[in-house]
Amino acid sequence: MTMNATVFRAILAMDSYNRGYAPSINGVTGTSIGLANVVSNQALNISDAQYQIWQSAGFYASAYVWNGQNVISYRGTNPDFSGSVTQFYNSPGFADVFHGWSLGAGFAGADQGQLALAFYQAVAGVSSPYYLIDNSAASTMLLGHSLGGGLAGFVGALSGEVAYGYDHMPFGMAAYAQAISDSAIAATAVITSGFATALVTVKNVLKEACKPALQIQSTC
Amino acid sequence: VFVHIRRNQFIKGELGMTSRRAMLGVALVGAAFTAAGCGVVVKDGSKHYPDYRYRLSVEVDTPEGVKRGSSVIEVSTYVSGKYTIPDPGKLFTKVRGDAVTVDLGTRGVMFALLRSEYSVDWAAGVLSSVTPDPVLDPGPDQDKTGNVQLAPDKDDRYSGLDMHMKNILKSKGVYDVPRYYNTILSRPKPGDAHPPSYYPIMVTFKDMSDPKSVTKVDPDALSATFGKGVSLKRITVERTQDPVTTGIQRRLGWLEQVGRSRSTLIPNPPRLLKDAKDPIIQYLSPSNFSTELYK
Repeated sequence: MTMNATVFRAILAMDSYNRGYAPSINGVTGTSIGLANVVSNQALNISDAQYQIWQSAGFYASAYVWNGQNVISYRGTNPDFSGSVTQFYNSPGFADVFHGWSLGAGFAGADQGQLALAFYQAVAGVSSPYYLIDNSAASTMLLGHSLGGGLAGFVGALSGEVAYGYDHMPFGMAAYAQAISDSAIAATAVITSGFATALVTVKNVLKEACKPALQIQSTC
Repeated sequence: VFVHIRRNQFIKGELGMTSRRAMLGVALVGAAFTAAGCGVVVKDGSKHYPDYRYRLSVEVDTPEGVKRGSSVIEVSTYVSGKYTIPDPGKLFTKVRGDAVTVDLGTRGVMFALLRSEYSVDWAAGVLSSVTPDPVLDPGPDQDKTGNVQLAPDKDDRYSGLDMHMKNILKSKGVYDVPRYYNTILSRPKPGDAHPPSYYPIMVTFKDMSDPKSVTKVDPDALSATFGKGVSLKRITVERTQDPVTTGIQRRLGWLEQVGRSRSTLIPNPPRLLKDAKDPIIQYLSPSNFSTELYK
């Protein structure tokens, strides 16, 4: 039986809530969901120590191969608004707000944004999230719900990959800021590694990243 | 560069999401300043229960006598509130501690890990699972068969958990860990004779200095790994005030170094879960041995 692709994308977007640490549903140990085969995060060169950093930052993502295409599902948020402030600071949800929601406000340096980019690079097997710098990536579909949708959009805006968000967090400003930041870093290379090469890098990063970011923001 | 953003699916809802998140953010910041600045106590809709510790013990019968190992594990428990997005009332747990080490002398060393095959959070729930709830005083809620019917408390959705946590926190005595899960949600899979194992994953090393030599130990056939006459006697849990057990690295000196360089004890595990011949062993991580490695 063939499942409607739109419905299945939504299912995969929610599946990341149920895998890895602190799953919403315990005991989801299957090796596939529908026709999508689950990729082991352990096989993606993410060290055990890095995985602990994921947990400290409240970040989680799962990867799949669906019809031969890589798929990433970024887990969303689980904040708590009802507790006292002191308890809230200790809550798992605070990690999402501090490390993830700040990206929605335009802070590209938010831990979850950087972890999302790194995870994309690990799944796609590229040295840079920018297509014009490393175009060797196999096509990777990006999915996410809520905060996870924002992370998918953030990565999609920078990489040019197809991204689907469900009730997602804003991401355009952060993507723009990330592009500017990376361009500045590339510009620094002008001094150290030769003017011509670095100039091309700066041009490419800005050309690729700023355009989609602005395009996205213009729809708000 | 053309950006493949599917407007219908992705951009739709951006405005709504922006405004909703913004409002929640403003509310959050406002609440923080109110409480921190004026000392206002916000009504507590979420629950942080007191941490508790338990001793996880493993006893093994051998021809040389009973060999024991134990580890003290600390559990923190938190329940999200009624308005949590998207998991209202979700139970969060966090553990601290080491796996149990059972030294069988010349036969080898066995480790009972912090997780089971079924659950990565096994160590967080084991004392809770074996702690019986109190026998309720039969009263007007008793039905014709003598079973007590517990009506949900409409004013406190967590009253059942409150009662259970109180039982855990005053738990005394030693409880056996059951061999298999016994809940309606963990029935045997088609073709399996038993529900999922409730025992922690047990492993040993052919060479203690080589993480790649890790092998799984069958809890029902320890003799296959450690020799004739060796069998698992029992696994128990007991609430304790003793300090959390750490220091497993004294035996496995490479544990932290391996965990900082890769995700699994055995390098290069299969990319797809379905391709793993022995996923328990192939995906085993250093953090299954200790929560304290990278602090």
